[in-house]
Amino acid sequence: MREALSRATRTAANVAWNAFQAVNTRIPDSPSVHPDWAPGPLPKSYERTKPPLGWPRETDSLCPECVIEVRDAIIAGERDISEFTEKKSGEVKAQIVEEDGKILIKKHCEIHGEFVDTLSVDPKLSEVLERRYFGRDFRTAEDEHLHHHGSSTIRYGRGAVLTIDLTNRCNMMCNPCFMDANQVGYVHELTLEEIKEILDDSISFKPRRQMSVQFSGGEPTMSPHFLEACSYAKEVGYYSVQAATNGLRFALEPEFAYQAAEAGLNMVYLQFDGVTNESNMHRHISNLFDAKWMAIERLADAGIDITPVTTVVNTVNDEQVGPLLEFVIQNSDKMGAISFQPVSFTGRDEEISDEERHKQRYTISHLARDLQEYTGGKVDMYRDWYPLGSAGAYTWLADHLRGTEVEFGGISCSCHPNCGASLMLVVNQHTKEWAPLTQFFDSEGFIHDINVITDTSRGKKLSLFQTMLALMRNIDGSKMPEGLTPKIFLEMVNTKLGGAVTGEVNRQQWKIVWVGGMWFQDLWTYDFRRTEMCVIPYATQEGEISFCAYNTGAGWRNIVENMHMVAETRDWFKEKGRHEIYAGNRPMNLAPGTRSLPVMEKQKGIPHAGTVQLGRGCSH
Amino acid sequence: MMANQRAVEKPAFPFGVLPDRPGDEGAQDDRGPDTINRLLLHGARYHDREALFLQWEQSRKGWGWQGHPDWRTDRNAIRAALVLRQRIGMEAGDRVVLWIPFGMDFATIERGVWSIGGLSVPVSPRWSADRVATLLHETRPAVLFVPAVDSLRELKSIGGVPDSVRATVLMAGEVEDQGEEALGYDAFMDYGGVLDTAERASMWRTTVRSIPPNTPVALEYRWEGGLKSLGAMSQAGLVEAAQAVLRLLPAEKGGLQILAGAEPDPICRALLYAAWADGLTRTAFVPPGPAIEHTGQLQPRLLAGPADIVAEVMRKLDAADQQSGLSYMVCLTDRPAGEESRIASRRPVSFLQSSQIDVPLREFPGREP
Repeated sequence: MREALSRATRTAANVAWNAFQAVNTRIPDSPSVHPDWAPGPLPKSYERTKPPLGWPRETDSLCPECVIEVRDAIIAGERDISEFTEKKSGEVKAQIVEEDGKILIKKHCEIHGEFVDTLSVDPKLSEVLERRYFGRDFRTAEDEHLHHHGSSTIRYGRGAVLTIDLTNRCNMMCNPCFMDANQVGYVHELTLEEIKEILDDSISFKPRRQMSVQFSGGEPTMSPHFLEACSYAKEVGYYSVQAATNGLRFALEPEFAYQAAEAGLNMVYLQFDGVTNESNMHRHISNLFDAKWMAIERLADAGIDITPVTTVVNTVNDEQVGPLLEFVIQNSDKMGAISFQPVSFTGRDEEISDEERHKQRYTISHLARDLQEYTGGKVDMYRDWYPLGSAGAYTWLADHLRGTEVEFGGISCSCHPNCGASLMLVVNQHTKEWAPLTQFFDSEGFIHDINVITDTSRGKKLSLFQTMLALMRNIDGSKMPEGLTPKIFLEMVNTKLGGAVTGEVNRQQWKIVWVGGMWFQDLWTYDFRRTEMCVIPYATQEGEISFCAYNTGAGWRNIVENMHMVAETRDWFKEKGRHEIYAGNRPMNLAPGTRSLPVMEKQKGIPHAGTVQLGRGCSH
Repeated sequence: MMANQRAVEKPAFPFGVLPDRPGDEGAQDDRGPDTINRLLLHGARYHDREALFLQWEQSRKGWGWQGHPDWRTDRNAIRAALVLRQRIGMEAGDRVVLWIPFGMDFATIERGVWSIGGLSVPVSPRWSADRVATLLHETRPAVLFVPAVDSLRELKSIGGVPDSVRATVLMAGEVEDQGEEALGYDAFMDYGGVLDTAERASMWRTTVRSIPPNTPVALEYRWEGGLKSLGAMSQAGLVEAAQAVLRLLPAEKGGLQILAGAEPDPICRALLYAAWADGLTRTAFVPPGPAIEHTGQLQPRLLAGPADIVAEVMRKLDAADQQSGLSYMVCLTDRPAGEESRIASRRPVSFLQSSQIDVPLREFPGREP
């Protein structure tokens, strides 16, 4: 019965769609809307650009040895910053090729020789992801005051998450740490005025972005201006205010989550490496998982969304990805996403040996394969994974439907398809029933239909009508998990679009859970075609810089922090006192509490305590 | 209500036993908060208002009524407490003279003083240096807050700063050559480093909970041609006063009270801290001066202050047709007779005399040798 009804609905929607398009596509396209926030009319699909994709292809990259030499010389004052802003110091050409069932990046430096690394262990998945890429966002305009970093300059898009390091101080001592928090010998900490200026600047050019801002560090909650920064960001119009945090402050200070929620904090990216204390031992706090539990409870109670963020290292904690996914599903009433970040060898890890690097290299394709295996094929790596940039299609549709009378464009994650991929799950928060969204929804087909709707651009009412038809004809209700109906699903989609279809947002028992794989670059995988369309820019005193160019590549972090350090660490301690650092494998003193979150029973292959070498950064 | 602030089911004041929130276990006993410290601490998790205090200030959007939410005032109170104790070395029982305007900064500093077991000595900024010197001599404070550098200069010129004062904080103006123990308010609150950390906040919380109900929190005095009497208000006494206020003037979500031209006397502070603790009421500080001109933009439920200023605010509310929500007036001096009949003819407004709010005081033992 259910199957017959579903087939009938789809057939009817298909007939209506085809009939409508038989006329619609024969009439010349109407002009696209030109909202105030945008530098021009919303481009048609045939006007959008894409970076060079496929293989073999050539791109611009870096020599891992040369660039470090140049960076060090700039910091030492021996060479000028123009080495990066005007010249192409350290740059080499790279070839992206398929060999032995892998996608490799190969480059040759006349001084330092050959460098080879792996971009994918599954060319078929890479091909699928690149095929599903939607296209670039606008080229930025009037942004020279923020984007002026030579080859690393961001040239496209409105960004999705603006990252601001509030301080390089941290209350943990992970080893290593991608920014060497507490160990670089100086303190780099923004004043409140600097934070405000950065937040103002970032919405000063077009496309004017309804973007998220993520306060990072160091540990951002150690900045004395953390709450004020959240409040100001909300006041000036940032859509979502986030913090990349280790969660300790939320665990230690009972009121802090409520204060942060009041100040405007919407979401935390919570460093989260595993679902037991043992699987967190490499962070050098023996009860770190207990602290995470406590933080999660308080954050959830205060109404702050939680996205666990896990750095994944091959042969170290790759077997945690399945249990972590299950953990998020089990706690979907508190969490709406998980972000896996395949390791990027940055910071002191730039000194890693070739042998170790090849052994520990983990890619999006590894992640897709591991989750397919863990779920017994319920997650299909070719059907369910989409490039992060495909989400731009939904933003494009929402922008189109909202028309001209909005102050900001929607959040658009239009990054390069090699930067990351994600899959969507639908999860019942009560029964924990779940399924990949693309099990019953043809997202690729829907994106195709979005192109038709936005290209023809027939006004809001007709566009809404087509959107409904497109949704219905791409849903296969017979494949939905028990209890989910097309009506509920349509309401969920509307919610994900911020109410763009109906103007209202409904909360459902079912929710969409995002499972992301964000693969930041390092010196061996570096591709300037990726940095120029970065959607996670770092906003600094020296403008906005691509995440990868900041943390690796040219290494702008070291340069900016050295230019703007506020004190030598020893002087800071002398004047301001030493802050608490939790380390030495000692437990934290946590207030007594009960665990109300379900504890995982099934634990596959958790690395033995003491053998783990994880810790490439704070999963920020 | 702020976008991501959660509505909380709130029992009537006094809170009594509220459901535990994560990390709250054991924080309550059956009697509910019995000190002003515990009352404000506990209320910190049950806010349901977009702002705690309103002040007429300049912001990026120009001059206007700026809302200061609970989180900001809570954080500033914690910071003030930590700076006083850890940087200045203040101890429980020490006095802090607040010779500053009655507003948000006054309230946060006073709460900070109480939370480490200190006593506040509120003084009107309109007082002359001579009077203040007398009071300082009697109370021998450890810390002195003064409105501006000129006031401090004048005080020093008459030898009015006793040697008990370890630090002087200037609310406005440059510190210049006022000695090492003097610092500006911004510098006072520029803690940085270790003070704004979870560990220090936890330490503060522990101290707050450890202070017993009979601890004196403020010195109140009577001045009639000279200092006539000194009395002390206790932690428990202030809770009683706040309860009395809430019985007379029940809180409502979104309710606004205007403290117009108010001095830091016990009644005004009872009104202030009752509103802080109830989690619902907003308080607008309207000092004499330009802010009064803009009170027509507000829609108060309660108006308190000296008769002349209350009458002035009433005229502004009337002109802007904003008096319809006014239910209570608290006159700290005589009633504004003309206004009373005019307002009463349109809407029933309860007039209260300050004597109707009981603020229990006990005798202060006097100056230490």
